[in-house]
Amino acid sequence: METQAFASFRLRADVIDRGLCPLCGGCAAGCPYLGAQNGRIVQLDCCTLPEGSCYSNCPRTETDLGELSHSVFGEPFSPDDLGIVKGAYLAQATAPETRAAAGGGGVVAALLRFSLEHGAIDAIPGSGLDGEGHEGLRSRNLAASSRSAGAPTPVLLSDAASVVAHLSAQHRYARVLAAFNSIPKESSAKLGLACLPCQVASLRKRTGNHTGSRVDVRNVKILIAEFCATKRWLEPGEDRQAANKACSFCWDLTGELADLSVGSGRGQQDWNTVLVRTEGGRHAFEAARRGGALEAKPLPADSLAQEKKASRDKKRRAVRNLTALTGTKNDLAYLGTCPKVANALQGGA
Amino acid sequence: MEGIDVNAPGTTQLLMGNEAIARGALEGGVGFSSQYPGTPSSEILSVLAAVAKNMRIHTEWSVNEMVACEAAAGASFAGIPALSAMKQNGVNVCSDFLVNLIMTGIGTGGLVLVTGDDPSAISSSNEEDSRWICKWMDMPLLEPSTAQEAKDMVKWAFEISRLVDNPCFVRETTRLAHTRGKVVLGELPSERRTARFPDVWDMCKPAKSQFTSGPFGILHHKAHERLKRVVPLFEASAFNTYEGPEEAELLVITSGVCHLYCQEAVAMLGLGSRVGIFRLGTTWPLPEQAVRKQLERSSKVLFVEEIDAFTEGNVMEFAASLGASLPPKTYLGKRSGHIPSWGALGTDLVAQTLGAILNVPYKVAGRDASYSQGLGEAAKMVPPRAINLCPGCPHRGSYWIFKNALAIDGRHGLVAGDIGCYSLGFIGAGFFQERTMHCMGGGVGVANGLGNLKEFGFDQPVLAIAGDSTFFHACIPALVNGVYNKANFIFAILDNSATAMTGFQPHPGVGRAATGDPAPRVDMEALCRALGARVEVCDPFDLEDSTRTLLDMIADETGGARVLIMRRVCELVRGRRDKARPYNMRVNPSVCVGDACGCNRLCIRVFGCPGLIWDQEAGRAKIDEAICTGCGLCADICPQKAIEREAA
Repeated sequence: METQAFASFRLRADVIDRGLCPLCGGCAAGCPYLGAQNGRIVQLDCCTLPEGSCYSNCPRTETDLGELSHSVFGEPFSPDDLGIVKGAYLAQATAPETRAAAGGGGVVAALLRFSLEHGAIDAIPGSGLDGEGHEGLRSRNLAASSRSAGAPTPVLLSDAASVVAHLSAQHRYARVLAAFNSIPKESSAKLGLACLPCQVASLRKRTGNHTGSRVDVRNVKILIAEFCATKRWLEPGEDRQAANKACSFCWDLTGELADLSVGSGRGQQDWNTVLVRTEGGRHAFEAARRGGALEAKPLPADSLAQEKKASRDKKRRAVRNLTALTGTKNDLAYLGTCPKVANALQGGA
Repeated sequence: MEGIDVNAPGTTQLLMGNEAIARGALEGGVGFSSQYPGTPSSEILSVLAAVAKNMRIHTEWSVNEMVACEAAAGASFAGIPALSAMKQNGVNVCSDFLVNLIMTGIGTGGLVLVTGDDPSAISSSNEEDSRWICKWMDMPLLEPSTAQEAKDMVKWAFEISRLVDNPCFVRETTRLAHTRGKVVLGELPSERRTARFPDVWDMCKPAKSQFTSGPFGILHHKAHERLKRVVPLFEASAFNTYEGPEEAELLVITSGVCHLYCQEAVAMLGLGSRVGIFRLGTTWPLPEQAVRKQLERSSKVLFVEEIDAFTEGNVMEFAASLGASLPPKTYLGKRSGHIPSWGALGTDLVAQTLGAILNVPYKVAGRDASYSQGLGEAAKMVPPRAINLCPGCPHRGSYWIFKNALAIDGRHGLVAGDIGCYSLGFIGAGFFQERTMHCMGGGVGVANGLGNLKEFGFDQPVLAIAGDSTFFHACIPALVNGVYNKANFIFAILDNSATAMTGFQPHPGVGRAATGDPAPRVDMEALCRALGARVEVCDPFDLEDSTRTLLDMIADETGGARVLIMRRVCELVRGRRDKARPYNMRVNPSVCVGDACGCNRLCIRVFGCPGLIWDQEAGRAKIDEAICTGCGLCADICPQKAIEREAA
């Protein structure tokens, strides 16, 4: 008798045990069988579902970048080093206190706060810290029971005054997807999110897959990717070595599937690099600019070149590591065997 | 109906085997009775405790079988007839004392040991034939077949014990212990003994005044010799019976309840003129002359006994000693494969065996093809039910916490299990967490080994578990050992304030004696702290806090053995006490999304409380009102928070 390949077991075999898990938290958030703890995804129970969102939404299970690109941009996956970019800027929050809190340009906090204040979005799924009194959005996952005082906990921000502090905190990515998953399915609240590229991929993989109890991902009106940097901190006690190893298989430095991608200003103190990718992203960015929350100037050519090189290097490293993992030149593990994708990741070479 | 303490000789009562044993003890003049609960023998002391005040006898739930046996021997040394009952495992527990006791003798009181063996291990962790200890330790052994015999044999056993100056063993099995039969009562003794330990220099009363096991060589020899005193009684005993033709095609030698199976099988097959049944009531020492007389009836002998080939071996050993003076015979039984060497026997099995040996078709009237078909159809109508913990059982919460904490820790931690309701942890009821399970106290003992393997690269967290009654019974030395030898393990005491599995008998931690009177409460928490162990107390129904505490204890590997007390009263005890549910539970049908949840019925399939069921029509989880005890735990495991508790 053939053994049924249950989704959570396949997740463990295909992703976690292979060292591919980037700890985005998408699988564990809301699943009673999986928990995120001590920098690992742990299987608490045997889930017998052959299909599960833990598997289908994982950024490290089979991912068709061409299809995702079509669903987000209506275009094929771009071979450009930075993906599809409709505008590249240096930008900053006009409020000095926002910049001070964020320790940089403060664009993400200022943009989402402005969008919230002006009704473009109603709420921001994010991360707070346990003990801060965030009632109502406690993780449904029992793994949360293991949290120590001060551990991240999912929150849903709708109070503009708290946005800057939350989106500037080191733990701001930790429970973003848990917070998203905790929103009632029937909610029609418009959402804005800032997260890491792997978390963006997890959310984008839900497009066209609205079954189950999760809120429709189309409620996300502004999806901001923060360039993946060393500041990432998803779980208390995270095994940095394991996480770094998993991240060596990641192709996406800048969050190419987001509406907007935001990075540090590359030496420009108090500024952020901003890549506008979608019309929605442009709309939100321009509205905040016009409204005085942000100021912006074109990204200098040398900075753009630096960003491109960094992104290109990451893609090539990912391709190299993935082919080494599979032992097959044309097999990029979770990115599939499509030569077009492989070519695009290597700049169309 | 009158109680078992009524002094009405000649009247008849309908008594369970265990009640009959208690009555036999009263008729035998018992003054002291001690026991640790264990199925199938638990009721013996319960019944005696209920009449203890009226009969002015001492009854106690002892902390374990060894202490029970030692206490009973102490009473016997002082001249008071004593009885200690146990299950087969208890015999093992007290064996070290017994092996010394048979050297010293038991004094003038008389000491009867009753063991309830559990063929097929229906309520046990093992299957074991405790009769061997009698051969090992020179103790006379009686095996009743009916409740009447159980009463009569126990009464007689006191006399035998005093005669051989050793304990007399009475062995029942589950079916006798728990079935009722008519018992004609005898007289209760009117004489009341005075307890006194014999004075050393009282030359006027030359009773034995020392019970010390040395010099062992001489004493062992004396024990062998003392056993011989009982032989004439056993040879002439009316408990050894024969029914059948003078010369039989087949002689069946049997004992205990198997006697009844044999009688019934012979009658069913109409073999009364061909088969003789020799029932041994006095099984050890073997009444050799009586046995020889029966062996001469047939050239073919079948042994029918539960569990091991005890009498079979003894008879064959005796037959071999007779050499050529006994004509050759064919011996059938466990050795030949005609009778299973494990499991409970039954009439069907004996009838099939007799039929096969004597070439008589075994056919039961009314059992034709349609009977088998009907059985099959009936079986389909029975809903499948897994063996499970009770609804509202605190152990379900404990195991949920252990499972999650060990998974979160991620180092493949394991639960070293023990004996109690929580033994079900090795199956789905405990989420398959229990990885070792042997005897009482065995889990924490095993943890001592696993917890000292760091030098060999062992880094798996070890979580030993035991119940509160088990803690007092057998865990304290192993815990002391863990503290002393710095073994790295956590010992979780699942404190449900009762010896739940055997029927809620009190233990030293609950503040109540066997008679129901208040008793000092031994504080297990203070006891563990006094050993120097870190002690935490958690509520198995507070999943968050308890998981966090356990993870913290797992991370703390500096302190050697640590103790986690998971404290919540057994739901059955609470239900009896409070007569009401704490919560009215409901599944909110607008929040439960059924199979759309994505949890794949975690509540029904994994959590598995019998009080939660699946409403096929609605496609939602549902509370089974008839079964739910309103404990409220399931509200905390539903991924949708669809299960709601409302204070009742």
